Parts: sequence; C-alpha cells; structure tokens
Amino acid sequence: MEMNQEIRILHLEDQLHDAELIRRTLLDGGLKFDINLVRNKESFKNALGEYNPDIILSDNALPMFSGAEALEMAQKNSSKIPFILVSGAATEEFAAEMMKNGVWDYILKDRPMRLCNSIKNAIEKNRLEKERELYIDKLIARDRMLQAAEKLAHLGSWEVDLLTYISGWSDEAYRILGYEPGAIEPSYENYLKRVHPGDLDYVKQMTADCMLATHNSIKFNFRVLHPDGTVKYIRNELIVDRDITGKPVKLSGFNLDITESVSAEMELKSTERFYQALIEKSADLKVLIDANSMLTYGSPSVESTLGFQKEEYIGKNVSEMIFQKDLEGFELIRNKVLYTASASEPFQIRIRHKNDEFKWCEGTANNQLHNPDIQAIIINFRDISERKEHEIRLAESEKKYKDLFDQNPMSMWIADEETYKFLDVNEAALNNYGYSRAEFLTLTALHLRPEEDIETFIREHTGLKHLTNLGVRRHKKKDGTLFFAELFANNISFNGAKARLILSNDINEKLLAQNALKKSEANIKTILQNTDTGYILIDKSFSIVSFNKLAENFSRQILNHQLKEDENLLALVDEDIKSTVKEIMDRVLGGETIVNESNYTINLHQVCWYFIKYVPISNLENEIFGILISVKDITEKKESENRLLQSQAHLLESQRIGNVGSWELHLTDTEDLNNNELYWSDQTYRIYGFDPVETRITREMYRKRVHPDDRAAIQFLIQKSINERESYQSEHRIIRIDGETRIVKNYAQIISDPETGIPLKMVGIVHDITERKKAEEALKTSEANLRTLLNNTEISYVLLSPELKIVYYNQPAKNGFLRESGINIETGNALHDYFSGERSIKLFTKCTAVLNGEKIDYECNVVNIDNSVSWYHNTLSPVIDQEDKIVGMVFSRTDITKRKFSELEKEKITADLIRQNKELELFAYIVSHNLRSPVANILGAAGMLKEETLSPDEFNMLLNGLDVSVNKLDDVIMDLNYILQVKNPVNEKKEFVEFNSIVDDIRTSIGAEILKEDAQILYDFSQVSGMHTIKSYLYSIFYNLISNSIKYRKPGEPPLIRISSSTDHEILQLNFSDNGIGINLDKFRDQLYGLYKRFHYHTEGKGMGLYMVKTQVETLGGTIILNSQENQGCEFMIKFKL
Amino acid sequence: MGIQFILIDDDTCNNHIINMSLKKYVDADDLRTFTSAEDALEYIRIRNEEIALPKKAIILLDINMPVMNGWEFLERFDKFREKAKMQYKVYMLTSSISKKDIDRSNRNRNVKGYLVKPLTKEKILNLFNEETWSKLTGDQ
Repeated sequence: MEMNQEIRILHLEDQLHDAELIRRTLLDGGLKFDINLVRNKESFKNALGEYNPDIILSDNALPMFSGAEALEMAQKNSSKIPFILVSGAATEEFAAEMMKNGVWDYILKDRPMRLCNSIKNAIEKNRLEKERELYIDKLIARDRMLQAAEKLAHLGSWEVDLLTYISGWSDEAYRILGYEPGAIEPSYENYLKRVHPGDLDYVKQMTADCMLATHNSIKFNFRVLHPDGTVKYIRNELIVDRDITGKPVKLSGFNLDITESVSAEMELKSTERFYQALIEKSADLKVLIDANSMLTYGSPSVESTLGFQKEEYIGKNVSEMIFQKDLEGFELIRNKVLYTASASEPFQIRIRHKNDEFKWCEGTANNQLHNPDIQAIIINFRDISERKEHEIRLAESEKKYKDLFDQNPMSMWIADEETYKFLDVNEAALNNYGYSRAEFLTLTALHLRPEEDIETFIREHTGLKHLTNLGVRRHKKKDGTLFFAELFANNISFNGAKARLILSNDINEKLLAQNALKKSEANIKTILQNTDTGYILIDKSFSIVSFNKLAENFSRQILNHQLKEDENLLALVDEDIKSTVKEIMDRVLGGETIVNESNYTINLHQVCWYFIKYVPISNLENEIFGILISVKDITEKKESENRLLQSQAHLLESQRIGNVGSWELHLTDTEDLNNNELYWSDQTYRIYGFDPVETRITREMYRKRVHPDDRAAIQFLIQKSINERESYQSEHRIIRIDGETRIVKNYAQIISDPETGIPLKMVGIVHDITERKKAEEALKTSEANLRTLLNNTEISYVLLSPELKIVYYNQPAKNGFLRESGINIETGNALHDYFSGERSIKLFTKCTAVLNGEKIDYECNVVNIDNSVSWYHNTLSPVIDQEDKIVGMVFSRTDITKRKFSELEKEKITADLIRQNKELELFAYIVSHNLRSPVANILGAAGMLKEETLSPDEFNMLLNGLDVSVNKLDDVIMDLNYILQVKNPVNEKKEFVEFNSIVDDIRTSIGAEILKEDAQILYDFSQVSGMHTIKSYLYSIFYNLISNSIKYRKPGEPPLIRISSSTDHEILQLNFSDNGIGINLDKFRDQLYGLYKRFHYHTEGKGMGLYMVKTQVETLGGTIILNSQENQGCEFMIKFKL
Repeated sequence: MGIQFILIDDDTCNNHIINMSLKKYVDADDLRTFTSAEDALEYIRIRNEEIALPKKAIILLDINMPVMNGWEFLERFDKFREKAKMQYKVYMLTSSISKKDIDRSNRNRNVKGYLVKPLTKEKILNLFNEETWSKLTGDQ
C-alpha cells in the first residue's frame, strides 16, 4: 500500500448526512480514497467479502446492528483491516472496551479532525505489519522447503558451537540417527549412541582428527545402528569453523544416508565375489611394496594408467611416485598398516604419471607382510583425477558466487558492458522489478528505464570506472510502475566477458514520503511519529534540528543519551568512531547518499542491528542544507536473514556433497506443465551440464534434456503424481548439454495448499547415479558374461552360502536336479533339503567339511524319476575371499553317465570275452577228452577186431566195448547240444512258477529212485510261494540239485533234502540243503561247476549237474553259492534279484 | 618178459582194450590197472619200499580222471625219491589231441612220451623196439 494509491474505505453509516460529513472531512485532509458506503448489516457483510477495504469506518448505533457486531464480523473476515469507530456520544468506558476489543481508534462525529491522521497511521502501521508477515511467511516457506529437500535426499545436517556447546540437528539428522525429530537433546553423546559399535572408535578418531588437523573438512563413511537393529550407511562430512587463531569454534556435519546405494552395491558385490572366486579377474591398479616401501610388483594396469614400464618402477621406493605434498599423508597411512597384520587403510593421494603429471588416486593399503604367500603391503587404487578436479572446480566457483550474489537482499544484476544485456540477476531484483528470471534475462538494462531517460542512461554508462554511485534514477517495473532507485555500478569480468554488476536500492517510498512531507507538515509529523524508522534531521553543522520518537528511543538505547534539539550530533558518538561518522556526514553534505548497517551491543549482551541511512536534504534550488539520518532496527530481519543464509548454505553444501540437486516446479497450470515456472538449484544445473550462472531453465529446455525414449514415461509419471497428489521416484536417462548421456534419479513430492488441497508446486531432488549405475552395469555385465559362461558349460554349478543356502545355480544344475527329483531348485533353499534320508545327511556332512576348508571329490549314481540312472562326478570346494575367509562353497557336478556306462560296458565285454574264451577252452577240452575218448575206444576196438587170432571171448568183449563207447559218444553229443541250447538266448516265455508244483513234478518223475533210497524232501515256501521265471530252467535247477543230493547221499543213511524260500531287500533266496557226503571245497572249489567235473568215483555222475545248475541260474540273472564240508552235507543258496 | 605195466585210467572200456592189446602184441604178463590215480600212487609207494625186488615199470597215465587227474598224479609222483623214480617210465595215454596237453607233457621231466589213444599195434611195437628194450634191459 503506497501513499499515492487510493485508500479503500468501507463506511458503515445509516445516516446519509453523517456520511457526507465524514467524506468532506477526508477530502479536506488531502487523502486520496474511494469510499463504499453501506447502511445495514446485510450490505456490510457483502462488502466485507467483495470490496476488499483497506480500512473500515463504522457508526456505533444502527437499527438492528451495532458497531460491536460490525467489529466482530470484520474480525471474523480478516483481523488485519483497521477498524475505526465513528460515533456519536459515548462513555469513556464504552470507548475503552471497544479499544480493548481491537478497534484501532474511536472518533466522535462532532470532532472528526483527528480522523485523517488516524487513518494514515492505521494504514502505515498495517503496511509495516503486512511486510513483516510476508517476510516471515517467505522464511517459513523456505525453511519448509529445506526440510522437505533434506528429507527427500536423506540428508541431515547438524552443528555444534564449540564455545557454548549449543547444538542443533535438522529433522532429517534426527531421522538418520533413528530418532524422532526433536525427541531428545541434540548432544554429541546422543549422536555417538547411535553410531554402530564397530565404527564408534573410528568416528571418534575422525572427529578428533578433523578438529586437530589443519584442514577444515573431512569426509568419511560410517554405520548407524537403529534401536530396531536396522543398519544405515552414512556418508559424513565434517566442517570445522575456526577463529583467526585457528581454534575451532564451530563443528558442522552433513549426513547423507547412502544405505540404499551401499546395500545395492554390496548385494552385487557379494555375487560378484562368488564369480571372482570361480574365474579370476583382474582388478584396478595393484602394487605390492615390501616393509621398506620398495615396489615389488605392479599389475599391468600400472603401465596403462601411469605410463611406467615394469622395469622402471620395480625395486624403486614407492615415495618416488607420490606427490611431494602427499608424502607425509602416505607415510601416515603406511605407518598405520605397517605394524598390524591385515590392517587396511583407505587413502587419497596424488601419484606421478610418467609424463610428470600427477593423478589423484583413491585406494587402500593392506598389510599382508605376514602372509607367507604375499609378504608385502598390497596397495589397490584407481585413478580418480577427473572426479577430483571436477570437485575442486565446482567447489570454487560455487563459493565465489553464491554467497555474494544470490542471497543479497538488495536487487542486483549483471549486465554486459557493451550490449547492456542482462547476464544474471538475483532473487531480490526479480521480486522488486516483477519479472521472472527467464524474462529478465532476455532484457537489457535499457528496459528498466522510462524511454525518455534512455539517452541519459547511455551517456552515463559510457566509460564508467569501478565502483560508482550512479545516484538516484527513475526505474520501470514490469507492470510499468515507475519508482526511484539508487544505483551502484561496478565493472567486473563475467565468464571472461566485460560486464557490470549493478546494485539497485529502491528508495521510492522514502522519496515519496519526503514529497509528502513537503506537502504537509502535519503529514510529516504523523509519518515520522508512526513509522518503525527513527529520523534525525541535522543541519550543516551537525546540529540536531528535529527527531521523532523512535529516534529518541534508539538514541537512548545506543548512545545512552536523551536527544535534545540544537545538540551537536557528532558530540554524542563515541570517540573511536567520531572520525568515521564525520567523514560520512561530510560526504553526504557533498551530495552522496550513504547507507550502512551497524551493530551495537545493548545492555552488555544483546546485539542489535541498525540500518542507518544518511540522505542529503536540499531546497528547491538543489542547495544541500542538512542531512536526514534514518535509523531502522533490523535486528529481527538480520537474524532471520542469517538463519536463511545459513540454511541456504547448508542446503547448498549438502547438495554439493551428495551431488544432489533440487528443483521446484510451480503448478499454476496443471493442464500444460510447460506453462509453469521451473527452478533449479545450481547443482541441478551442473548435473544437466549447464553452467548454473549462465542458464535459466525452462520446462521446455528440461524436456529436451530428458532422453527421447524416456520422455513419455517421465511425462506420465509427473502428470500422475500431480493428479494423485502423490510423490514419485523415477530413474531415467538425460542427455547433458555436452551430449553425454547420464542416468539420474528423481524423488519428488507435491506441496499442496494445506487448506484447499490444491497442488501449489512440485519439489524434488535429482541425483546423478550414472557412476553407480555404470558400476552396477559393469558388475551385471561381468556377471552376465559369467552366467552365460556357466550356463553354457555341461558342468552343473551350485553356489552355496556358508549357511548352505543356494545362492546361485546354473542351467545344467537346474536341469540335473529336475531330472533327478522332479523339483526345481531355488535360491535361498538349502541344497541338502532336496534329498532325503541318508543322502541328505551325507551331503550335509560333506558340506560341513568343506566349510572347514576341505575340498571333496566323489562319484555317485542316482536314479532319476524316469528310472534312468545317472552317474556324477561331484566336487565340493570352498570359496575363499581375499581375506582367506570362507564365504561359501561351490558344488559342481559333471555328468559321467556315458563314460561310466561305457566303462561298465567294457568291463562286461571283457568279462564276456573271458567267459567265452573259457568256454572255448572248455569246449576244446570236451572235444579232446570227453568226445574223443569214446572215439578212441571205438578206434582201438575196431583195430583189434581186424586181428585174426581172436578168441570168441575177446571178440565179444570188443563188441561190447564198441557198444558202450558208441552210446557214450551219443550221450556226450546230446549233452553238448543241450548245453549250447541253454547258453543261447531262449525265446521261452516267463511265467509265474509255483515252487511246490515243481517239487511235486520232480517227485513224480524220479519217484522210483526216491522210493529206492527212502529219500525225504521237506520244503517250506510259505515266505515266497513262487517266482516269475522260465519254468523249464527252474525245473532243471531243482531237478539237478535234488538228484545230486540223492546221488551223493551218505551210504547207509536215507537222504534228507530241505528246500525253502525267503526274501530280503528285493532279493529272493532259495535254499537247498542235504545230509549227503558233501564236497571238499578246499580242494575242489575252483572246479566246482566245471563241465564233466566229478568229485567222486563211485557214482554214475557225468559232471554235468552243477555245471548246468550254474549256467541256468546265471541265465535267469541269479547267483549260486555252496556251503559244504566233506561228510557234512551240502547247502546251496540261490539268489535272484526281484 | 620182466616189465611191469601200470595202467591208470578211469575208462574201463579202454582198459579192457589196452589189456588185450598188450597181452597180444608184447606178451605182457604183469599188468596192473587202476581206475583211481590215488590208488595207483598208493601202490607205487608200497612198491618202492620193496627195494629187494627192483623191477622196471611202464606207467600208462590218462589225463582226464575224476578226483585226481593225470597232472595231479604227476605232481605227487615227482615227490618220490629220484632212485625210486628211475624204476618207472611214464607215458601219457590219453584221448586228448590238444596241443596244450602235449606241450604240458613235454615239459614234465618225469614223462617219457605222449601216446594218443587208441593204442595201436604199431604204437605198442614202437614203444618196445629193440633199442628201447636193450636200453631198458641194459640198465638192469
């Protein structure tokens, strides 16, 4: 609300005459106003809603309505509008009551002279209040933004004043530590309570280091342990502020929760580690040094990264390769690890390239001197020069600019020296001139001047040197409003080009106030007495001409002095600043306007800030005749400003550390997002490859930066988020301005009007995750390669965790187990659970042994669900990580079924060959003995028969011999035929044969012999009554064994034959025992089942029986065993597999 | 004729024919026949003890016999004292024409010859030709 604008007055008055009287009074008072007269409750109510008055005048007594009611309604509508009661007669009690209820003033109708001033006071006071509210609103909004951004980015900040030990944590800092915001005292002890016990000493050490060391910031990661057991990974940066003696005065910390990326990384890493164990892979740069720092080994990457050939550095001291200034640091690291076995320390140092450049390298030193295989310190590192350089450059440019320019409450901009085109502008200027940043940056300085002033402008700006006060000039806002601005210019270089930095101070109000003062003494007094500014008017000799009430108060506070007119102001100031003040005032008398901000300590401890402005006062002839000193208490503003700056700085710092940018999209138009304004933080610009100083982003520009393939999806996500008022996360590709494709992650949320729920803006943070993504991709690729490799082998691999859970399996493994058990193996299950009983226990035992470092090889056969048999060669070997820890095991199995079967086949063929060979030998034997023997006899007898001198006895005997021999020959030929038949595969059908029916048949067929020898056959086939077999063979077996038992009976003892059947483990067993003469097995075991082998002289045996029994049992797939001793009977056991 | 024949063969038919042939062609008067090699060994053991009447003997030995075959007999026979063994000339008399048997018999130092059945007149006469006899009698 400014003085030249119309005051909108809502006047409640039922008497037209009274209303007119008031209107006149106001006109006489010189007020510019618009009046809306209402005469009853209804129209008053409507006007409150529609007219939007600056002030309300109200009669007290109306029909059906009162001033008190009107006040209540007005306050309900908006308590901000000043309410003046204009009334007839009233008691003082009533007036006091109304004032207490919030009435601004109470004016009697018959004495309206005070009305004008009262209105002006009310308006001015209201304006100031509004200004403050706006300012505080802005602060609160900023603060909310910061909180939201911190929360989104999982960024917490905290600080400790090391002098007072007063500390503060941001809400997110509480959350990161697992506390509810504000739940406990933000002390260092409470902070340490949540540090993971394993990292506690480390955190303490690092914090102490940071305070002691000469550098002012330190970064490290540590873990936080929440009460619920959750472990969070925190990237921490500590920053120490020091006084000029170097003593730390403040410690600030920024905590970034990186759990998500760490755990993703760790997950990948653990899988990777398994693969590493399977297939050796080369790492980063790796060098080994001995205890004297001599280089003993370097990986091939040393040459590619640092340019040195092996022979150039092996045997040299490692310090020759380290940047001079980092040597001390490296020694520190080396000493830390040197005396502790397996100690490991991270470092960042510069290492010399062969071309004498230095590379920033990051890595770890690990003491393996004790390890007999290594006997060295292993130094693993990688080149991070690019990243480092980038970091340094960013930090510099950021600091330089941000603090000075962006947050300055004065309007500032940078314009090209030649073209006057604006290159950059700060927030204050944009607010003041009413442009958006994008708009402003398309303009030139000429646009800020009214057209008639442009010529003067160009003249003034030619050849300007350095800091210049350009004086007060007329400036034009976007909406065309003209105002007076005091301008300062400074020539600077901006991105290499000549430019001019302009500071503009809006002094319009003050000038207008002065003008108004000239118009009316009364007005001057009113304003002077009712503003928050103290004014002191002094003449050329510094003698006080006049001052207002506030100035008097300030003087009492600051100077501890009661101001009097005609006093010399210079005499009142402290000796030590007297000369400075004098110098300032002299300059003002020379025509300058000088502004400064000073702080004074009041009551020994309270610091107050004052804005002091010295303005020359001139008469109409432009002669300067005095100075107006205005003093304004800006303590509150200063404090909030400091707070704002501090939190801004925190945010910026946090963003820089986390490489996190933030952005804000205003949602004035939710239909077409391109119509909305978009704001980016500097880090966001950098992420997208823009120079934050040179560019102002627009929606359209942003859209183009999103990778074409991702645009539609992102557009959809944003629109959905707006429609549903929900936050969103996205990961997508962007194309930086330099053409590079990067991957960013966005978290965004909608900020809605808390009352209406209408989305106001979308705030988000953006995080460049390309490196992490690339690393993940690389890991995934290498994993994928390995997977392909593993899946394309014929060997099954299953990786087990130390808990024997399946971590990974390849395709052949999956197929194998599926074939075997019909079940798909799955990760997370225990391998041995896929088997049952003894196999499961055996496997578990083996696995346990492997976890103790053993490597186990074995062969096994399994029956698959389709009843086929597979043979496997299995290997169980431990997976050992770099620290010699067993982190799991590899179960590999090779299908050796083919090999095994061919082995078995070979064995069988060999056995068959041997058997056939034996049979051939046997046949030859039969031919030369059994077959030829009767033939020889026939030949012999025939030869003898030719003799002439044969007696009839001799002749008969020879004929008899011939007869016997021919019969014998026939028998042998018959036997041979029978044998050959048995040996050849028979086509006879298998059928179920009852054992007792066989025995009964035999009893019948050899009934005569049984009767003759009084033989007894006892059988018990209760367990197994019969079998599925070839009947004739089984008959022959029974027959031969029974007739053998009778044949080889003990003389004088009736043969007793016992036959029984039984089963055990799918084996059918037939037992034949007798009480006969038995066989001396020690003597004859080898020949037991030979053809034509006989072990006794006195029977008619041909040596065929047992041979036939054995052949037939074997043909039926069984085995036969004999237990016997001479004279102890025989016991034959025949076993068939069922 | 002062030579004893010891025939060891389980084939009785063969034994009859040999008996007849030996009597007919070489007028053998002292012929002992055994169908069990064990019995034959026992007889030779007893005969060896009658040193007062040393008498040359020709053993005709079959190979394929139950319980103890020809080869087993030869193993046991080898254990007799050398002087005792000098009284005997062992001839294998077998129906086997297997080279294996012939080779085996040739390798045995106690075997004088291998005769394949049937034992014809020629084989018998050849066995008892002048030279053989003079040697035999000369040794006496």
